[in-house]
Amino acid sequence: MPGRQWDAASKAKVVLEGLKGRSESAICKRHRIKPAEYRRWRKQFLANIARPFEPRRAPSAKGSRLLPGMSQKVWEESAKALRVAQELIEALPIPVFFKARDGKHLGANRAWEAYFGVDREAFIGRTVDELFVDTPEVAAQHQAADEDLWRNPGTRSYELEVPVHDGRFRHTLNYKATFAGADGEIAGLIGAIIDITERKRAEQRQAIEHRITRILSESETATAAMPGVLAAFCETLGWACGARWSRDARVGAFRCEETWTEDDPAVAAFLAGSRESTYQPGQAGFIRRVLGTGEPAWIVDVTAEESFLRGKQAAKAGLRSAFALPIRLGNEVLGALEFFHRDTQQPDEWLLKTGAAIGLQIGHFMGRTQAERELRHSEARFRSLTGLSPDWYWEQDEEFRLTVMSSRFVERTGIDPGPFMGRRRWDDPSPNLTESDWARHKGQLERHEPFFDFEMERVGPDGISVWLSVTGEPVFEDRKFRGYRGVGTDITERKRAQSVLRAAYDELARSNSELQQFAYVASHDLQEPLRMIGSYTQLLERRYGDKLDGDARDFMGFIVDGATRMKQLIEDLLAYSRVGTRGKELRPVPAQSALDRALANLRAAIESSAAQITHDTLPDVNADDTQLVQLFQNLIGNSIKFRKKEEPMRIHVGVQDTEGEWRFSVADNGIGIEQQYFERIFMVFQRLHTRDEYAGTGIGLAICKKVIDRHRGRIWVESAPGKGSTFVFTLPKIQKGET
Amino acid sequence: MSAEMDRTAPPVEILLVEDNLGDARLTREALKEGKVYNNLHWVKDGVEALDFLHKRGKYTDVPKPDIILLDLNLPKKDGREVLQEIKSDSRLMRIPVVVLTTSKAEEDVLRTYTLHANCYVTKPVDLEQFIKVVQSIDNFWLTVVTLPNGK
Repeated sequence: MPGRQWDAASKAKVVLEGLKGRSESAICKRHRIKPAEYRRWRKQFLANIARPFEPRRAPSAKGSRLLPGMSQKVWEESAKALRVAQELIEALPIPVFFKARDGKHLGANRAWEAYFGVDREAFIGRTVDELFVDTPEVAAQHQAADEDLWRNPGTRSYELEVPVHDGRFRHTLNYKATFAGADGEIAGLIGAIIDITERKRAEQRQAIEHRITRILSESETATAAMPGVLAAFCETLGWACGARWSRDARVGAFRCEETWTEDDPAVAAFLAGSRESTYQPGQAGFIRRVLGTGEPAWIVDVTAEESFLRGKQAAKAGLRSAFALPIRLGNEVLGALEFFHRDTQQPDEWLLKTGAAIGLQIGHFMGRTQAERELRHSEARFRSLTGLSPDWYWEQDEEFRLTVMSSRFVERTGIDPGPFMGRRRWDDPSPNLTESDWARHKGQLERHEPFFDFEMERVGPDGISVWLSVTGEPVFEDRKFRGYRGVGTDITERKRAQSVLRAAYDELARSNSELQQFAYVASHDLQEPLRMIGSYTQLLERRYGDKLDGDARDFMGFIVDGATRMKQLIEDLLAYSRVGTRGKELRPVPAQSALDRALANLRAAIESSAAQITHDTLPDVNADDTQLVQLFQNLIGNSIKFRKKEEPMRIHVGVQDTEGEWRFSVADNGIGIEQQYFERIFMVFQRLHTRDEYAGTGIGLAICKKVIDRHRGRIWVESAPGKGSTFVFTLPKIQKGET
Repeated sequence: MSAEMDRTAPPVEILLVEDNLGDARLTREALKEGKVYNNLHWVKDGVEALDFLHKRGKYTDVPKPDIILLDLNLPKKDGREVLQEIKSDSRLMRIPVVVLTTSKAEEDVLRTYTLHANCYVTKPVDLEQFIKVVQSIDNFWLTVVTLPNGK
């Protein structure tokens, strides 16, 4: 093709054809170039790439040690070709080397030099045994491959794990091809090494993960899955054994749960040792560290590592390296996986990454099984609950139609739920509910509100009313209303009891009010005949006193005295009954002003007894102010009445702020009361003294108690004879909103 | 002003509304011991009392009372109704009414009806006290009623 433009790469291709053995004339003819041109290109090419890459000494005519039986001319030719090839591959990023037929290295490229960390010039003339001095098995495998290639020339490829410059093993794919000398005999081989470690590892990791995924998908619990998981890891990667550690998050304790090893009794014994005890949280320890930090850990030699507490046992089992990784679910560390290797292993980033991925996979699995277990528990609880409860369970759909009714319904009520299924609650009559009751309930449901204790009356199988109480809550799925579910109770008994109770209460209220009416009327009407007795006795004495003797006057005195006392008793009884019947509504009032009024009413008695009365600042209370005045007046009046004649009278009205209520006290230094009378003094007309000693009917404290009862407080006395008395009463505090 | 002078004045006309014989007698006896020259008219129930006040039936020829002593528990028409009628009648509303009650409690109840009696008196058991009460009515009369005469 005249006029064709030859670039450097095209020219190189042409030259290479010649170097590969094609004749000059054939090349010139094929590419339509002149021989002179071809020779110029070749010269230029060789001048550009030639390097001092030849054997240090030229082969002798007697035959080189490198290529025995090769003539000088052939040698030169082939050396030339070899040199060019070496120059070409010098720049390749993959290790390439040449070997002679006797296995001795002829040379290698820069990549080879770096890969194995060997000075290539120093290595020329050496064999593969010398490359892998520490790993004769690797050398032997290469050797075997070469032998095979000598017997059957051509190309071969095989994979082999070999140690490289840093002592680590790498997966290599070895391509080898024989080449012939000018005499047509196999002269040696050229080899190229492709590092497939990453690919291998990716495959391995995928294989492990697949295997673990399959195991986990077939297992119901972590315990069942773990031996397979541990085996998958160990078998694939050549680790001797593994263990799973669980952690009790509440107390921080942890224990070795499952282990795996091949049939090695020593290792099995070591693992059994790990399983035997529960470990407490602390600082030192391999697993503790992993659980504590949530990060993987690696120990190159467990027999030399102090922080590895099971070092001795591990040494006995022939284990050297260990690594452990956390089992995580989100931020939670559920446990750890631990692996041991029989040989010393340097920390391996890839392994740690693979492990972390497995830890995550197991964590998810455990989270899922935990959730499933909880769901099963929850379902079991629900079954127990519905089975044990006297209540029944029901469900309604979005249209409030009954869809589920547990069998407890018919068991409890005797009513067949069949006719109610698919119907709304208000589709069937309930005598106790009016249209507006139903409308209210319906409104509640339409607003999707929960409802409590909705009472319905249904007709039972024998025509007798059955009372139901229904409670329900709306059900939402993904925020969409799905209906209602809830429980129901047969409250027929409760209703019956309620109505009995109500009747009893009504009866009690009626009889109570009758009694009060009776007490009022009776005491009122008793006054009149009393007055007649008293007045006319006195009139008799007044008009005819001088005609009567001393006895008659005495007797009339007793009549008048009796009538007067009876009048007082009746007045007091009336006052007592009026605490209940004539009380005012309770409202917030200042206790202080009640006390002030009581003290004003008692002024005469206070002055004549020279009592010293002190008081705290009193709060506002919820009370009937008139009755509160009466209360203070009765208590202080009592104190004054039962004072010690020989001591100055002192009374203190105090108040204490206790939780929920005010605690008032009226304390005196009076004659005191014996403990046996502490209750009796609050009863109507109960007196501890004769009328000659102290006047009064014994109504005062009874009225106090009735007033306090009406105010929902308590009243009691603390006292000892001669030591004074303290009357204490409580009043509830004013609640918010009562003011 | 002395009791002697009062005797020359026309008697005070007192209407006692009281169903209880004993109480009526007691009132009469007590008034006997008082200083005021009086003329006591006694009716036994509320209907009679209103007949008296309105000069109806057998009471066409009675004077208008200067003061009414009114018991509460009366047959036919009770004291509360009588009081209400008196106080809502323009010709009678100026007559002072003393309500006689059996107990303090009853007085308290009555006050809640807001019937404007001029005075409440609880009938005492003790004769001395009763006499004092009637005499206090006497005194009340003297102070209140003598004033127009003095003008």
